[in-house]
Amino acid sequence: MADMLRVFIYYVSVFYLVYLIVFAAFSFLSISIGAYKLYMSNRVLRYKNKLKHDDLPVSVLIPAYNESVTIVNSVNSLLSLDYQQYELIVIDDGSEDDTAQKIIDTFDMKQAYRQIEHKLTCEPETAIYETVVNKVPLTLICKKNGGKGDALNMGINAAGHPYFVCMDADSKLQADSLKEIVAPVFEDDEIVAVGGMILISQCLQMKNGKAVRYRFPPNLLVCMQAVEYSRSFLASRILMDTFNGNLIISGAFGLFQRSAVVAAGGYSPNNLGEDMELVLKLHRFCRNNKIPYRMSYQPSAICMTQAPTTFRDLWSQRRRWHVGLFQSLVVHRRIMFNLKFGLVSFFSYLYYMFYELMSPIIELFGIFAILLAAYMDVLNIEYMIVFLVIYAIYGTIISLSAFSKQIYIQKFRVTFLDMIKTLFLCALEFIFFRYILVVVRIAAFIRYGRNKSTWGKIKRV
Amino acid sequence: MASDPRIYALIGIFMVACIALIVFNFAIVRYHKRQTAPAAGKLKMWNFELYKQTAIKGGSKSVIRGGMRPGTTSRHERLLLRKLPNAEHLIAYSEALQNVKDRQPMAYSSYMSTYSKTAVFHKLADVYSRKSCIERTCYADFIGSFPEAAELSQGQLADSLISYIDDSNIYCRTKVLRACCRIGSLQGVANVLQLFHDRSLFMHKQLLANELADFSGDQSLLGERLWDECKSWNDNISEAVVSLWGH
Repeated sequence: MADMLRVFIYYVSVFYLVYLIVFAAFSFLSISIGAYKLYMSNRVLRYKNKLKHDDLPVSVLIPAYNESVTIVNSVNSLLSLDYQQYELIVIDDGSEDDTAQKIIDTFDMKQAYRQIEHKLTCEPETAIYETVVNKVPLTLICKKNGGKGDALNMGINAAGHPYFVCMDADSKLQADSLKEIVAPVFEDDEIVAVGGMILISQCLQMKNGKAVRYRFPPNLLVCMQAVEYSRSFLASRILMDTFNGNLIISGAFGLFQRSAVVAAGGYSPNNLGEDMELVLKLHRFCRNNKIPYRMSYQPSAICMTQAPTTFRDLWSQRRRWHVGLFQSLVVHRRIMFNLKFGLVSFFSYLYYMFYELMSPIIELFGIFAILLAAYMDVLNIEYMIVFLVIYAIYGTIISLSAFSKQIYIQKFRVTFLDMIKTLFLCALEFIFFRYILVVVRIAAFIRYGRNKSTWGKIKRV
Repeated sequence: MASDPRIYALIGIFMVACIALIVFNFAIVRYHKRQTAPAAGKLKMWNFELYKQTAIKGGSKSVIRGGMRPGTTSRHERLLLRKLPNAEHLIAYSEALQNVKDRQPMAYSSYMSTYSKTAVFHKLADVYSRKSCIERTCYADFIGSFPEAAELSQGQLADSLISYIDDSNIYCRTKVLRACCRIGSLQGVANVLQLFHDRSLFMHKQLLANELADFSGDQSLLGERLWDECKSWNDNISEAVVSLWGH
């Protein structure tokens, strides 16, 4: 029995070595290729800056549910974007508070009596209000509650332009964000979706509609999320973008071709990760129908969102994300090991499967394996400590690289003290924060059945 | 496993990767900084070159009014043909030329009139037709911004620009249409729209209408010409034509 356990532990340790080496190689590739791509895109940036052009008309969709605290500010900030032709469509998904009334009162909206063609199925509208503010058409659609995906489907039905941008009600854009996110459409005819870069608003100092300074707030939880966001958005997504393999375009800021989304069936109302599910759906739709397509990622298109400031809110947000990831991967399981999907199947899907969805279970199992090895006296503690320290340093440098890229691309001002803080936070995030997320994700699995179709709410500040 | 030397080799690899990443970060920052430096030098060079060209006019020996001093035109033409195939130079030249246009409109028109006669801009259009999409777009944008460059070779230049539409993106197509509109080439505009239709190239009606509204030739002639043909074109083009000339 003891021999069998020893053999078992041997193979477990080999598995973990391979698992970590693959992850380390992935991180290394992500950072290197990400930096190279940013360097190359910077080379043509001067050309692009010179090539001023008229703006492609877009519809901006803002689904809202009980957002009375932030909705007016959000709409106001979206009315002063540096973009010539866009419309704003706020979809009130049956809020229980006065979200709709606040918008109607603030912008002096008038009820409109018009039909919306329901190309995508969604709960019916109860009232439509319209006005024009600063030459920007603003529409408010009140509808019965059906979830975020359902609200977005309504917005797509009402949108009047060939491309639409979906946003969260608490997100804010930089003045040039719409111009930036539309740019890939001008560069490639096959674009069906573009993802933007999400930054945490608590860390940014704004001037004239543009973020100019990056400063960590006192809240450690927010700081660690900021580090995590930059690693995610400036490493793995750029790498996957090189082979058109991104599986997530954040619901907080993404641009889509309306006709492609309608043809693919729109958002799934019952999915907590409706943003990821739509991207997977578009991959499947285009590949199954042999439609040439591209989903791009545009790191210079900035969207600012509020990060949860308490463990409770973080718990709720990450639980939703993880359940959404699980639902999306399960619904689109046919992508896995499917030659038709190429690297989307054999790289992106497997990455999300093993390093996102399964990672909490694998990491938890690892802790048990260490305890078992210690119990059986086969644990090389010296080696384990050295390895963990080196791996932590490696992870910290990866995070630091991603973070410094972000500072450099956005031309943010940072002080020396901020840089020292960054180093400390990158280490803390790698050593501490990821284990909090392991617990949250495991809880998401355990409590999978509960509140599967609710809007995620965090306390607004 | 515990005493396996491969373990320590693995740790060594991780350490090497850490160092490589740190070096890589510094290298990227350094290269990013170097990227922006040469642009300023090119602009300075073209500002000086155009200053020389226009200053001769301001001096006692006027060259532009009655033609350049022998040798000056051909030397400058050779310089344009040598340097401008580089898009970085083209951008710097555009900026310098814009400065002249804003500050000395008379000197600018004399300069453009002189060099449009030499067909230098047409030759450059051919050179750019063999370049990448973004570079072609830059050249079409240049012609759209300085339509006087096509003063005497409107039709030929429009033909060269239309060839840019092969394997192009919306940026490029918009700029080609804009250039044809700004130089006032009626046939060129009709050909561009016909190509958009034949190849089912996406162009939003608003973008089309904005560019067509900027046609520098006879708007009513263009309207008549496009009105007859637009019935056979796709919805986006037809709607753009109708929105401009429908009334």
